Amino acid sequence: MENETRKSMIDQRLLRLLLSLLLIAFLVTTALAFKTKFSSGILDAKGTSPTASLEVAQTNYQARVIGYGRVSVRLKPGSYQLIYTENGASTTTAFTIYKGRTTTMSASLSGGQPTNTKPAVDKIFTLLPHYTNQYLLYAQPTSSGKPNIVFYFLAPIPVPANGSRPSQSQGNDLEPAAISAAKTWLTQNGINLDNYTFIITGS
Amino acid sequence: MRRSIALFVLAAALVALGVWAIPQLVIRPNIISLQLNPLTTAVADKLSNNGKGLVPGKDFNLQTIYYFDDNSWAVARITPVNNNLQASLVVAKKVAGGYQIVLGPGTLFRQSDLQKLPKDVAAYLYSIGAIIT
Repeated sequence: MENETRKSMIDQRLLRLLLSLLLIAFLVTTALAFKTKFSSGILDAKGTSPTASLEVAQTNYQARVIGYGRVSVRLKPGSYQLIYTENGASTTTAFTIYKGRTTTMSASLSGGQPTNTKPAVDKIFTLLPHYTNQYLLYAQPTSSGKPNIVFYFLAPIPVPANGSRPSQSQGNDLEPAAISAAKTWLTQNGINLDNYTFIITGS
Repeated sequence: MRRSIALFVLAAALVALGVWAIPQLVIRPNIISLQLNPLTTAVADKLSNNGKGLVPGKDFNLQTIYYFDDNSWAVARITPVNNNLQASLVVAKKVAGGYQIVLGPGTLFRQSDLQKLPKDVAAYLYSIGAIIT
């Protein structure tokens, strides 16, 4: 009888202990939930199309799709970009999340900066450098936005039949022809020279 | 004793329900966290020397990232957050889900470096003046 009473007391103590642990877990979870709530902010994003995708991106972090059409998510405070994609076209808009506040964003294709996954590279940079035995052509970006096309004359002075070295003037005579040939080559490759600064140089 | 166990089970169920339901009710809408870009991780690994790791966001930021050829190549600009680093460029290639730095960090590259890059990536480096001509 005494043993049974003792066993029952131990069982009850064990149950109380387990219940206490569960209550502690409950309190900790609740405290963490409130901590998360008060240390984060809400993004309420709406796109013009209900099927358009909405993505959130941040410097150093991978962009993540948060939903389509209209989405509300909680984020850590900081600066983000909202990427709105509709029928293959995307725009990016910057936004900031503040603690305990809701940031409302309306996204549309006309409302943000176009999103570039690949930069627009002037054709001249894919075409050049180009060289022949007379000249070298290369492209230079400039701060003004109008790139330079540099013509570098290699002065290949042909050796006359009699073996004597040609004069410097003979070499210079070849330059206009080489420039003309270079310009023709550029035009044939679809380059409009009006859009560039053509610089002539040489050894 | 049986009554005690029944009460315990009931109490435990209520507490467990509370543990599950409270965050759902308090944290509404759901919190989302973003994962570090694999390119950032590759750059952090490349920049770290003598086992001293550099932390993205604290030591540097990866900005102006351009992806090429269906994201298999990327060119990014490293912007230092403090004065321990210099602003520079990196070219990375996608390898097994992650990125491997192929060129850089550097501010200028040689034409011979371009041989291992696709034409569009090389053209982009030309266009931003990162190639010594």
